[in-house]
Amino acid sequence: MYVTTTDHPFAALVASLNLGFAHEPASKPQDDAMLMQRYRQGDANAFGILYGRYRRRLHRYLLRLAPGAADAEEVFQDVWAAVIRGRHAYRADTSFASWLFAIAHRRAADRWRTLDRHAPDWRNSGQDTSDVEDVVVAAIYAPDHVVQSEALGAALLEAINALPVVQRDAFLLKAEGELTLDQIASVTGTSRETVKSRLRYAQARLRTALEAWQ
Amino acid sequence: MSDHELDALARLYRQHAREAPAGHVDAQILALATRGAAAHRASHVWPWLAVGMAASLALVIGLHLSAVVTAPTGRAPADGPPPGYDDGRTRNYLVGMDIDPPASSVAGTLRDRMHTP
Repeated sequence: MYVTTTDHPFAALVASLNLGFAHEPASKPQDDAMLMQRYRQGDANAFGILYGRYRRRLHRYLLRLAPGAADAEEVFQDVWAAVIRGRHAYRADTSFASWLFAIAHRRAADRWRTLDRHAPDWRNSGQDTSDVEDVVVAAIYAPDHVVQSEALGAALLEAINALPVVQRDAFLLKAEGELTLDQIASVTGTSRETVKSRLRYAQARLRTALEAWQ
Repeated sequence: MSDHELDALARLYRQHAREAPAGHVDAQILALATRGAAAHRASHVWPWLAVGMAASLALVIGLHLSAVVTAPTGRAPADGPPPGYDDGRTRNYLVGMDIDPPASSVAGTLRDRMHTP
């Protein structure tokens, strides 16, 4: 059902766009570990650098999993407070990003379960159908015909928001956390194959949602 | 699954996802982190401060005890008794000194007049 070749037309479309990023560059794990070590020794500036690296990425990760922006902000603060309090529990031989997003994943899951409203089903296998295609149609026929890349980006964000939560979680851990499959499996407490499956479904849904742009 | 296509989707997402936390949230978190760092530094200063205070106290007590021990004798702790302090010859010499004033002609004249009826 899913096209897996690298010469899929969508790949060419993405490659044709200017992807000079507003995204923070990925940092070296040892640099993050060094900064955490300095912070553990009382250097607040080291924490400031780490926070600057990850604040946007973590915020967006939580924002797209939360039922609302206020909930996301609350969990965001909770996660960083946990990082500050638990700084001595961090092991320098592990990726800081993986550790940070693991905390965020747990806190977010606990938070949504506690709220028990709009709570995403974290055990969902990801087979839900959604109206991702509607998002694209809306973007195509948006008034004023906005610039293509902007409209494509907006359609993609909407399509991501429409993904089942476990697929969205896996995709965001890859896109925002820049985690490997093994790291995502560790963070989500699943197997590597489960993560691959979730990402494959997410990719297929996103591709379908954006096919109209090719 | 095509890793290339998934990576391309992730890059496209990152290009268009621009949300950021609010400034007051940043301020709260950084303030919390600064307090945590300050508490860590303070926790490492107190032991050294206690050691310094204990060393100072030991020094003061030591000097005080040393002063109490040396005061009655007035001796320098490392040198022996001062020259002649316990020397019997010196004491005998001092005791045997002639302390009577020498005879004076004026005094003799006055004494003679006082005793003359």
